[in-house]
Amino acid sequence: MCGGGGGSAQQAAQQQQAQQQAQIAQSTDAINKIFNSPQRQQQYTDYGNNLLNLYKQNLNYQQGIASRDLKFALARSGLTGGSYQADAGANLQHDYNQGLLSAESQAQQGKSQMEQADQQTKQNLIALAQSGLDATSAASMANSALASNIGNAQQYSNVNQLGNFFGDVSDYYKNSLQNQQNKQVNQYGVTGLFGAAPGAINWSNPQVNPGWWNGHS
Amino acid sequence: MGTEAFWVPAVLSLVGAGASYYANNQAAKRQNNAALAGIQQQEALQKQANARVAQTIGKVASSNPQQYQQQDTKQYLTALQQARAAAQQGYGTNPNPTGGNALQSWINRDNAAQTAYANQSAGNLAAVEAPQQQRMNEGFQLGNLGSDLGATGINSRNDYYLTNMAVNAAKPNPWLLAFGQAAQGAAGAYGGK
Repeated sequence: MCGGGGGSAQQAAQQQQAQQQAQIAQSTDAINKIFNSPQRQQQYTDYGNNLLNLYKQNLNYQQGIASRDLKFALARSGLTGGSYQADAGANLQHDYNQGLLSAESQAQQGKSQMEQADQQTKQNLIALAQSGLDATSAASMANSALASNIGNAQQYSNVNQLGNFFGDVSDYYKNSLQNQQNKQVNQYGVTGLFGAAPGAINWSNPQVNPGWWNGHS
Repeated sequence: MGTEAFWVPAVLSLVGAGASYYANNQAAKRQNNAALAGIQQQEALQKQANARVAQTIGKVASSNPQQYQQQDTKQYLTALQQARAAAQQGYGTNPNPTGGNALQSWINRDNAAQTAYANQSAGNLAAVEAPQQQRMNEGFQLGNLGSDLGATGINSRNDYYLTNMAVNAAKPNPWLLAFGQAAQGAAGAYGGK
């Protein structure tokens, strides 16, 4: 009914609304620029490469040990230079290739995970910028996103994630050691109360017993 | 009966209507002023919130993994340096003097290889963890922003209720309204004689 300058409050509200819309657009634009920037994209590439380096370093270390163990195990078993050495070498190469593929795959997964985490951060930041003074839901959203970001990213920095790719070589190495010990026990006897006769049956590991024992257990 | 039968009710009616208009107009002005003050307060809070958002955007924009990587590498190398003596215990020096120079040179070579491996591990691990720490920190920034905006939001809602109360409290002067209605009533009564 009565004018009474009522338009001024309305104008102020409209002006404020327009300013806020402009501010939101500006903030959203700035946030998009951050997360789409070449620097951010480079960070993903670098992260993937660094993860791969970390995994490969661990894999090469494992391969070094496995290769050395295999060499000694073959020598201990008297199989050096035989076809078994060729097969064992091929298996070692196969294990290494599997390890490389797994390292590559996990590095890619880690990189994708980081990109996803950044997308979530971007959306949350935009939500906070848009929510303005009504930020209660956006704040809880940001906090839950933080928890998942940390969990997702950290699992990839654990080199144990890669696992042991040379378990078969390691087993072979251990078995060859065990066989050698058993042979020594059988050959020289056990220094127990009664001792063991030379060539005694190895009950703990029947496979190392002489040929005539095969088929008994 | 003179012309007063015509002009007295007219004047009374005009005075009554004028008083009501004035009372309502004053109330509308007070409501407008209260609303305007509330809007200005909201605008100030909104600017505060916008500045806080802009601050976080600036921090996220300037964050990079390099700052964390340097720090992490240094930290890992220091830890390795401190643990080196313990790690080499029994292996770092020649345990068998009869081994002679050949054994010692072998040990030296392995020690150098392990040191190089440890340094490389420190570098690789720091390179992987740095971007994670960067993002963790960005997450903290977001959490802090959310908390701060939440606090500003509470102030905003409080101000909004106070403004509403002030706007609703700005009512027309009841005495003036009553006078206006009485004058208009009298005008009707005089005209009906």
